[in-house]
Amino acid sequence: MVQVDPETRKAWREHPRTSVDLILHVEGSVQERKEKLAARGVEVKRGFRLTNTLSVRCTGETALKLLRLSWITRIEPDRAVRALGRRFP
Amino acid sequence: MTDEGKLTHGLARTLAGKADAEPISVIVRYGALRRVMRHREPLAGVQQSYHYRLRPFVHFYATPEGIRRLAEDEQVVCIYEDLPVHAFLDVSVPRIQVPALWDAGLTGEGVRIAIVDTGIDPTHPDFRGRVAETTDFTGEGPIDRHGHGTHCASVAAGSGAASGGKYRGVAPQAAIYAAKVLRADGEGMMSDVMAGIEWAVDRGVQVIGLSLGGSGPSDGTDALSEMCDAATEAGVTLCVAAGNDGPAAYTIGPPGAARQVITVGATDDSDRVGYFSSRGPTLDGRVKPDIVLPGVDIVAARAVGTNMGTMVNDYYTGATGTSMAAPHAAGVCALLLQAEPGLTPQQIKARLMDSAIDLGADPYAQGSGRADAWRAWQNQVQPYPKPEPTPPSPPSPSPGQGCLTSLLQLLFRGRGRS
Repeated sequence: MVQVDPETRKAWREHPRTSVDLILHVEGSVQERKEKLAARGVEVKRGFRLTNTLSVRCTGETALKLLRLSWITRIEPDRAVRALGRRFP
Repeated sequence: MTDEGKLTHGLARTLAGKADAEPISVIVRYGALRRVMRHREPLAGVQQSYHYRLRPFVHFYATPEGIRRLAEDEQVVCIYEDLPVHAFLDVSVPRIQVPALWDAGLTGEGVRIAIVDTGIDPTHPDFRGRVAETTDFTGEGPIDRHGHGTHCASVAAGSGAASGGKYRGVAPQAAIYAAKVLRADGEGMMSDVMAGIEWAVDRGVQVIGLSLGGSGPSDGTDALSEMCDAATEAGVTLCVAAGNDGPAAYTIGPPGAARQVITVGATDDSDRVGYFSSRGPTLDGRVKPDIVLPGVDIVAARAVGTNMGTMVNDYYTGATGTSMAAPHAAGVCALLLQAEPGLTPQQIKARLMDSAIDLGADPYAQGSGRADAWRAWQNQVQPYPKPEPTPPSPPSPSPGQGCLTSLLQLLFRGRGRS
């Protein structure tokens, strides 16, 4: 069963045509999974061999369909990060 | 003397011009040491930070109202504004006893450090001839248009050439690899950082400095934290900034919450943990940060055409944050690896933690303490085992998996801020 935050799943359902950036944790060859995802209309941005993950962009509707794929073990949103240096008063 | 008269002129002026209720840093002088114990009783708007032993002083973070309450105490003699002091590289680097390692011939020569950040200014004299390779995952090109990456790289490995050696970094002869994963606005996406880490691992770097992060809390199971742990398992030592969301507990986000990395909080020139430095535990209850190092008002290289921080001159600028503490750690790791190339990331982490100087602060603020390069090299362990810390009240609902982190962030955003 694919692990995904219920709030994220709800957002996909409510906004099926909105593009979302995701990180997919997969089983098997990242290269093979890339090709299978591309065939389903998913834009694969990068594959990561160290963690067997892929960063992708797709619509909420497509993301919901990805939940049915047995070789995807976890889906999480690709989140923002920032530099941690700044001036403090 | 009136209560208001106990405030120094500078503090009174600061309070008069202060419109918000955010706490400020103050030092309170008491009439006698024993009287200080009175404030073990909590006062609203007042948080005790440090109790000095040699003089009857106590450091507090207090709101304007809290300062007035302190002033009403008849045992309080005077309240001072805690003024900033500058821990230039020529102060912070000697503080952690790096020059002793330089004297022993350890300068990072032959060690490869990657800075995964906003890029680097390869034309800066402090990096001359040592930028081995750069890359860009943002689409903006590898040049640093923000200044943060250049600053961090020089803390870790700047030569200080443009300052006659004054602002020399920790490992001034290390080879530098720079992956740009944050845009000119200092922001980026986790997936770009993951790509930067993998790029660095593929280049055979031995140390990676990560002075970036997302909001906490995190249980360390998010994709970026897992990538950091995978890089560690591949033999690379990662030094990661704890974050700037302190002093509330549970403020360490990804990738600082990753299990195997060295998570670094920030101290000031007086070896006090920075108010802003993110505190543990992690969402799943682990102690973080692992160590603390200088990160307040650090003067280091300025990228050409950028204005990050407080500019010193064309070549240098001052900045504060756990971002500045993490590359101190990366530099020390490079020195240790030059001395003992066979050290594993786990051994290096253990060395730094076991030899750190206990500052007497909460373990969820200081970790094992302030790291010291000489003690780590000599493998000097702390004389006494430290007690297990008592965790603060856990956030509710109970900690979940990494995928719940975003939701929990929303739930806890603003927690602990008065």
